[in-house]
Amino acid sequence: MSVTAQDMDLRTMLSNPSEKEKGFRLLMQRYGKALYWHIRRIVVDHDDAEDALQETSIKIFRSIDSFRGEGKLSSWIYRIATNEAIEILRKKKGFFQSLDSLGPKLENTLQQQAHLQPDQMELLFQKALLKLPTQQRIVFNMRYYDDLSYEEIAEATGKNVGALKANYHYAYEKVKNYLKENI
Amino acid sequence: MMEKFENIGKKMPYAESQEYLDNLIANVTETAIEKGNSGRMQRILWPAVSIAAAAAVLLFVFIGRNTEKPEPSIQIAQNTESPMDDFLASISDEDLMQLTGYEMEEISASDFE
Repeated sequence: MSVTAQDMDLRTMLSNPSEKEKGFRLLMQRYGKALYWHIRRIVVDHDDAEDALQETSIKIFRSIDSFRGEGKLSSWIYRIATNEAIEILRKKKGFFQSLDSLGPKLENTLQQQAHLQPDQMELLFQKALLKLPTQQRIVFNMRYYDDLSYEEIAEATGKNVGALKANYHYAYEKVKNYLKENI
Repeated sequence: MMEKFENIGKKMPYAESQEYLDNLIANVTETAIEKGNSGRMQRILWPAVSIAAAAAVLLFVFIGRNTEKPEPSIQIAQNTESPMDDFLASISDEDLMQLTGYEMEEISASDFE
């Protein structure tokens, strides 16, 4: 995968010990909000999203030296963020439960933390997403909201492109059907 | 171009403002730098402290072994430097005073004849 010019300037700074902090601040300015929303869409709860974002940024700062420059920097940081968000979900589920069983709990959190008078379509759309299996939901979010290519999602999730396309397709159909049934 | 759901787009039903998120990102960034740097110091110092502690333990064991009290029999043998010392240790103080009072000339070959 090609390295963008944006990534290049960051990499140059981050690889230089005297400019590492400056480079990291620039990286967070560039990707911080996108990371927050990526995490928030997975964990739903705002406090959990803050915690996961904090852990993600600490891990990025500590391990940026070990980033070997294969692939895009953004895919690498998305990977760390995704793992941290999933870790939060793991802590929330019971020992014998799967991540997918958290749907109703996350839906409840969504309801509590939405606008006071939320747009009903936006809310319904989010509820439809929370009905998806976690893996499909993450792939759908990265494609739909973050406009990541399948190759970038593959780098970030460690899955192959074919499986991701299938995941997105199934997710899309399920969301469409849910909306049709509930509007 | 990816298909979008009509009338929904990418809006989220949450209330966090841009200003709030800007502050959040700034705080998270500075905390990460602070914790990241302190973690690095710990990672650098930890092996050094571990090596120093291991060296101290080894030194303690080594010195302790060399200053162990010997067995009593060995101790007696070590304290006994020569037969003359044994002799001097066995005699009384009066005898010792008498011995030291002798003039060298008094002890001559003729005394033993």
